[in-house]
Amino acid sequence: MPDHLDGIFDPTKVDIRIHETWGMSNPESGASVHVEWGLDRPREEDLEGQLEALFPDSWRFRYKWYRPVERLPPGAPPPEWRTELLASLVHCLTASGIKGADQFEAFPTGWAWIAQVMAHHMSVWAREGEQIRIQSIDKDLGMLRCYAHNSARLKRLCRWAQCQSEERCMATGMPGETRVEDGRVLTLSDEMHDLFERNPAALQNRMYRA
Amino acid sequence: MNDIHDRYDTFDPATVDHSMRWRWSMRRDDDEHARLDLVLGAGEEPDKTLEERLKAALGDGWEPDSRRHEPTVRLPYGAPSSPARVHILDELERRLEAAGVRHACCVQAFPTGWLHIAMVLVDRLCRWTAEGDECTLDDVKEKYGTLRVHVYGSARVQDLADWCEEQSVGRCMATGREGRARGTGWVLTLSDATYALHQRDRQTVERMMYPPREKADA
Repeated sequence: MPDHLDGIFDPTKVDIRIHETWGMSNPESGASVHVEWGLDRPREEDLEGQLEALFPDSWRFRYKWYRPVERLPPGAPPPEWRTELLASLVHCLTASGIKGADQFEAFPTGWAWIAQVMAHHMSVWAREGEQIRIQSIDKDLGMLRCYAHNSARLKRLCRWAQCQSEERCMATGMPGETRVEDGRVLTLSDEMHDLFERNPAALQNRMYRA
Repeated sequence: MNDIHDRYDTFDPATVDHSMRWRWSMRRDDDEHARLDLVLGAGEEPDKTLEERLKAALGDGWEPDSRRHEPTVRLPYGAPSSPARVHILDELERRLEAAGVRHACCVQAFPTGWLHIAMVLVDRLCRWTAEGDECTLDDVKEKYGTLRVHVYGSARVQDLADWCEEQSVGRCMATGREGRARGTGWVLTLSDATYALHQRDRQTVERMMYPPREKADA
């Protein structure tokens, strides 16, 4: 990591544990039930079925998802650091023997801290002897999608990253929400959404400065 | 004419949802992070039968944790500027007096960061007294970093007092931004930035929360 990029954010201190979650809701009344199965515990599928049977048909929205134990603090490096930061991560991952490391170049500025946490753990695990292959890193419907092989902890790390990208501005890392504009789905803070409406190119430059 | 809206703050208390809902929770005794939350719709009463069935399904190792009456919608973070506080509170007190709410002066106890809560409280009390409710404000104060509104009146007035208290949880007393309770000798709810300022300059934060009247009027 270049010196000027170091010390702003420490990826080694971040809690990457996740909860498996399950829930249902009643869209008419707004009522809901939500279960978190515990720290890094597997979901209890049979019990989820029993719980589901306790609710009438009007509770028709169901989900099975994940939630990080801790939300990453809001923030991101300056956009002008993005390219160099991601290049240093790719270099570090490749040096650790990880295949497909160049997929990290897809991270927008606002999600750079997520990239740093992923790269840190992948490098550590690779040095322990794990064979890691990153299949793809992409944005879909305003959320991060990471596919990497081939261990349970790697899968959980990808889920953690996906959860952290929810409601995190892709340009600034500040709290944001999903916006649909001109056929594109982006997660943006209010400030960046205003920028998008005034100057889409400027926003693009904040997210993906080359 | 709305003096507050036109002169000091664009927040519109009339549009705020003040409804409350029940949350019933269970947790697993060997893992504080394992939990179930049953949240009912606004105005729905607790469903004891459903709770018993959930308890039976979860089985041993799970135990009831809490039952809370909470706002259905979280009030957006934010607050007017500190210098506007005295003018806003004077206007709110005047409205309460005009509406016939007794001990209207209690409203003066709101710190700057919780003024939007005060504006919703006054909006509803004025509206409901016009509809025939009787209301006496007994006390408004901050305790352990959260608001206490003691009020005599109808069930909806009591629910509104609960709503005010719940909305103050995690809301910075100086800025209205997201915060948490801090032990400063006196428990205050402050945002990270305000807490950092408090550690350097306690008096400035006190003036942000409760600006002295003579300076604000100058």
